[in-house]
Amino acid sequence: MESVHAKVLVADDEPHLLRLVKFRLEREGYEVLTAVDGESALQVARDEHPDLCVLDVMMPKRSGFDVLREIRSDDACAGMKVIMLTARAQDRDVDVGFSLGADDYITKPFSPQELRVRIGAHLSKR
Amino acid sequence: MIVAVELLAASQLAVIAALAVVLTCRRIAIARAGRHRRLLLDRYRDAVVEFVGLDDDEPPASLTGLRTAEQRSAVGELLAEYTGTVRGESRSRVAAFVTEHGYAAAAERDLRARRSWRRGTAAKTLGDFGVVASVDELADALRLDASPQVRVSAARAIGRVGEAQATADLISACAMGSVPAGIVAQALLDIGEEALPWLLGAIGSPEQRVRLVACRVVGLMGVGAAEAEVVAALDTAATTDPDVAVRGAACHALGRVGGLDAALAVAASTADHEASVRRAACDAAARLAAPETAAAVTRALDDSDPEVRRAAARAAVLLGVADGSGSPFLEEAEAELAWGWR
Repeated sequence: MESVHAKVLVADDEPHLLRLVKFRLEREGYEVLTAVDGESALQVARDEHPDLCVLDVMMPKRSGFDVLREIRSDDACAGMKVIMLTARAQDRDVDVGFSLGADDYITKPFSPQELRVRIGAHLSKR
Repeated sequence: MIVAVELLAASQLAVIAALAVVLTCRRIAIARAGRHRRLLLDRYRDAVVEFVGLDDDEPPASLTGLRTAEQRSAVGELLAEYTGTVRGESRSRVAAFVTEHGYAAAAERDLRARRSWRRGTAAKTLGDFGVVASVDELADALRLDASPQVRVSAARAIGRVGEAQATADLISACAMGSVPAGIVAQALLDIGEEALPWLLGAIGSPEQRVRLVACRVVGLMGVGAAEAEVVAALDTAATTDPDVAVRGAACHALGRVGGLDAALAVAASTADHEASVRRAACDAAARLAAPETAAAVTRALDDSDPEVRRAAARAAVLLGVADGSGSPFLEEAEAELAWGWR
């Protein structure tokens, strides 16, 4: 059971979405950490070393892309999976996300079922 | 005389004191109602999150059989808030629930409320619910509501529901100017490719703003070059539309659509008599990076307009028909390319 031990960080400044994703993932057996801005997301990622991060792009203090860049340049975060979950759906944004090292890119509004499946797939590759 | 003045002052003080009491009581009542509302929202929040977030078809028992209007109003608000963040099965499940339990009907009734803020909120709620059957009511609000804010809210809601049949209503609202073109464009993008047949018709509309929105939306929609009708409609707009902005928007859209026919149409537009259209065509050529535009781009390097020459230089460097020497614009384009511009 992959999900029982996996730790997931969800960072988003939308409280409804954060609550929904947290609820869904906890029901799947994940340990869920949350952050409402980019700075605290980065702090949690460095302190808690989650197995996977779900990052919004447009967040206060630091964008999700900034957080992703920092995570990828930090040896302590090596191997951490990152999924971008954002309303920015333009091809260019998706390009930027993947070029910075995102493992996946999901656009809002999102499907909770799809998010669950993708998180499971990425964590099973660890 | 003194007694009369004292009486007047006393009565004024009494009125002020009474007003203060009324205002205080009102504030207390509002604060109490707000607290009560928050408690209701907190009571049902977890059940709504569970219903929206999980795959169960059956809603939690606490969401069914609600007795008071306050409870139903709180649950309706929560359902709209959380459903607005999701799509797919979760959204369909909630849409069925709000239809069956009368939440959608209540919001539709509110679309005819006397206060405009209530009508606007109702339109937003219906958009979040995503009930296709509510689109007719939203289209009526879009067409007939006296408040511009409510019309905007209705347009956005139609886009959120994503019902292609409402495309004609959105385009019509754009033609009448009853909703800003940018709002209509976003709603059409939200509907997606299913709106394409109406959009292609709109490219030939007699209204300039409709043609402009249609060209921009088709370009942003990201339909592939396989759609020959799309390229043909944009080609006609880029080369024959009487309006400069529409021709430019059609060029940009062709640059996004891509393909051989789009490249040929863009190449033809580099000879437009308006500089802004020639520039748009060169921008599109840079995006396409298709060899069919090479000759036209090379000619545009000598254009009389400096902005056209700048755009042509970018395209030429990307196409490899010129290196970064010979003109300041080519040097600039070469440097931009080296920095990763595309």
